[in-house]
Amino acid sequence: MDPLTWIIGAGDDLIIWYFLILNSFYALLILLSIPELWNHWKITHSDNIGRYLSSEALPPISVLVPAYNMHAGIADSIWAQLTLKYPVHEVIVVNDGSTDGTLARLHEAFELYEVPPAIPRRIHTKPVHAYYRSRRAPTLLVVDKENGGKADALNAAINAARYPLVVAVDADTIMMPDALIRLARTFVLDETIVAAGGTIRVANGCEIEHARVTRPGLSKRFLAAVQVPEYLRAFMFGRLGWNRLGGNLIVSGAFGLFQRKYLLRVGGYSTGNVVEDLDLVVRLHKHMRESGKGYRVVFIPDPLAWTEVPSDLRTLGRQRERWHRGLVRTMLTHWRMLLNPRYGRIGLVTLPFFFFGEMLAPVVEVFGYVFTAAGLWAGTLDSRFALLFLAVALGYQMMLSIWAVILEEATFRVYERPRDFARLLLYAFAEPFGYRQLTVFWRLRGFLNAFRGLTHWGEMQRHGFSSPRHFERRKRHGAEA
Amino acid sequence: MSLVALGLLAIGQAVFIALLLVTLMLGRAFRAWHRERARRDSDDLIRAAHRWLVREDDGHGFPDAVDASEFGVVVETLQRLSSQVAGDRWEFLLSDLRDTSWFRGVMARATSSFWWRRLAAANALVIVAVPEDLPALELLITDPNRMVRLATVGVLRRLQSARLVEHTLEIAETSRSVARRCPLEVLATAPGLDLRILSERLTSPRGPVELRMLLDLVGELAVPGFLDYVLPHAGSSDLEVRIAVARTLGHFPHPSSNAALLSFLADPDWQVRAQAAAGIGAIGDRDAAAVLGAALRDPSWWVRLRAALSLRRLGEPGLRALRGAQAEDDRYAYEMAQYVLGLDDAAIAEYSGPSVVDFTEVALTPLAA
Repeated sequence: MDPLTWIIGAGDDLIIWYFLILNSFYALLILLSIPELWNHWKITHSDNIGRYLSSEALPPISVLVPAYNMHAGIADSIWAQLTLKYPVHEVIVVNDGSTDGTLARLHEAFELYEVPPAIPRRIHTKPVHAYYRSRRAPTLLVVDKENGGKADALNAAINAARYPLVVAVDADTIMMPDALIRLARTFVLDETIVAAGGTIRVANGCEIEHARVTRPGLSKRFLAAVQVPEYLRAFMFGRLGWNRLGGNLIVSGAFGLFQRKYLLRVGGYSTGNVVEDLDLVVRLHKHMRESGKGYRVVFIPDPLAWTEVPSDLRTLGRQRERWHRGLVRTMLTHWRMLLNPRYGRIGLVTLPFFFFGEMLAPVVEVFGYVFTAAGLWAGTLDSRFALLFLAVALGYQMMLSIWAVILEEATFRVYERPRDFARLLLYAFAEPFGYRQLTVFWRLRGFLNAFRGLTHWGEMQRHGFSSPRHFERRKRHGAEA
Repeated sequence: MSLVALGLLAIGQAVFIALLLVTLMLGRAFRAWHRERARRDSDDLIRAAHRWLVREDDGHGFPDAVDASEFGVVVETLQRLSSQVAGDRWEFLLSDLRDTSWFRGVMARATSSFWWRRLAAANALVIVAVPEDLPALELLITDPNRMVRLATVGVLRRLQSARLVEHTLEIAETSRSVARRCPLEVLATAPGLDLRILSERLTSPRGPVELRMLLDLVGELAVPGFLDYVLPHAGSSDLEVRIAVARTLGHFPHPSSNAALLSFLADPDWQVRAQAAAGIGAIGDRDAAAVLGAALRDPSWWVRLRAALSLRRLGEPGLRALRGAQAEDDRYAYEMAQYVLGLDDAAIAEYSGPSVVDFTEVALTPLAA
């Protein structure tokens, strides 16, 4: 056998084993997610959420909202945060040097008045220009500061927060009215929790009025709708499975609850990372492990928030590229934790999975396509075998998506309309054909850019939820205009 | 991997996907049917309860309807009814329920080995328990599952039991500060709470953790007689106990608590000084304006903030002290007075509300004043 043929054959074998091991791990996550989901579902159905509303049993919360150029939707969004169902909460909006009149819009909507800068700064941030309180909403604090990025804005909000729990949300995240109660309840039931993330769903296609989802639905645009099964998969069994397997590595920056004292201890969000949420959680794990205290970072499925996902290729590509670039940066920054027994399951299971199974996945997948083509060309790979393997690989992804839909159906059942349900299944089937390969391409670009040292965020084309009525309809009007 | 093995795997996978799809469809149909049935059961149950309440049935209608309904539907319906029906009528209704197979199901669930069944029993007993059920409640309030324990604590809003109070105090004592509010809140709102238990434990607490918790509870209850049990702990060497005493005294407007709070303003720990400053504002001690004015020069930001907020709450003497600080050379005092004088009344009320910062949390991080 000549060396080239041997290399192609060995490469093919390696890819197959990588595929088998990785997918076995996914199967394990699925299995582990079942008892976890069962527990949450039982709690959700047994507990009377309403009883918390009239009580002080739940600790007060500071909602942190970084805002950059959100003029169109900021007022509705902040009103929605202020009127969340929760016994005691404050909302801290950080205008991160917006250039589109976001601050003026806040002034107009909330009758802001400036208060002297007497807020202690425990975490260093870019200079703060002014603090404002509102005559219309006493629980609102607006911080106006120099542009420093999302992480810097969140750090300024953490400085200004007064309460022991803080929730970081994006200004365009729409929380369900009872989401805070559901998130905070977790801290009452399990006191070792230092951070908890809730479920994020795709808002595109939902009916939205005054920054509240009034009727969930699926977008008519393929690119937005195909992300629904993808999000379901990530949240319904990925993160739930990690709850059982030693700890979640991701608490989404768009919707996550933290004990503030631990955020202060790790110095807040890192401004040098484009996925500041992942980096923060890794640092929290590191801190807690090193301090030797029992702790948990968990995902809770029933608190629900909606976010607008990119619906054009360019924006989506940028987002996915950035996510993967940030993942690579985080893995490289914290490489000392990898396979380090000092960090327990995080070092021995979670980080290795993210390193080999997530970070390297696009590289391996591209190599897979190349080696398969080379194997067919060199005659080391049977074409029937290659086709069957491709069918199994794609089928496996479909299976994961359908399983996520089943978990969703068996528990929270957000998509009630039969039409939405049918389309959800359709997209679960369609996702592996084309869309998956696109995401691999974007992730590969992120992988390469991470080594080029790129640190930019990239422009995100958002449409916002500012005006009432149907999101899709509004976007079409926007396009026509 | 051989071609045959891969082929079998592909076939197996296709069959599994097909099975998943069938499961999804059947699940949808079942859920629709089940939801409709639950709605019908709930309507029937409410109608039967209303007939029973106005004595339109032969006395069997309601228990029969309960037995004909699903367990969860009965609990939900009774929860709704319990907020509408009170007093003797509710007690009569409960006595009729005790002969039903549904109630026997509740008691069976209370000893189940599955936590969610015990949780269902706890949720049911919180609404329907009578003193005879105390043994079952005691079992549930000491359950290994925290959710079950917390659900059972709620029964103290209906039933009086020294044993259950003791267990609730245990739950609060073994909880961390974030989670302690839940059981304490139930105790604070429980009617007919036996105060002797608290006074005895306050006299000889088992340790600082229990003492802090009891002090917080006593503050919530604000029964004047407890002041004599609180003041002796003002000289504690435990920082968090002194914080708790300062916080509790803020609920007792009395000359002796004013004096204790003023002495706390000279405490070496800023957390105690800050809590004392907040307490003085809460009880509205107008004679303390000068001392609070001096606290505006405190090195700790939190003490300055609490002192300034309290001065705003003291009316004219407080405002005079704040305006005086604006004219001072001290930058700290000037800045804080500016800040608090710039807040409108709604902001002051919100800032000074019951949910002030828990200084035991803040104590964990160094402060850049």
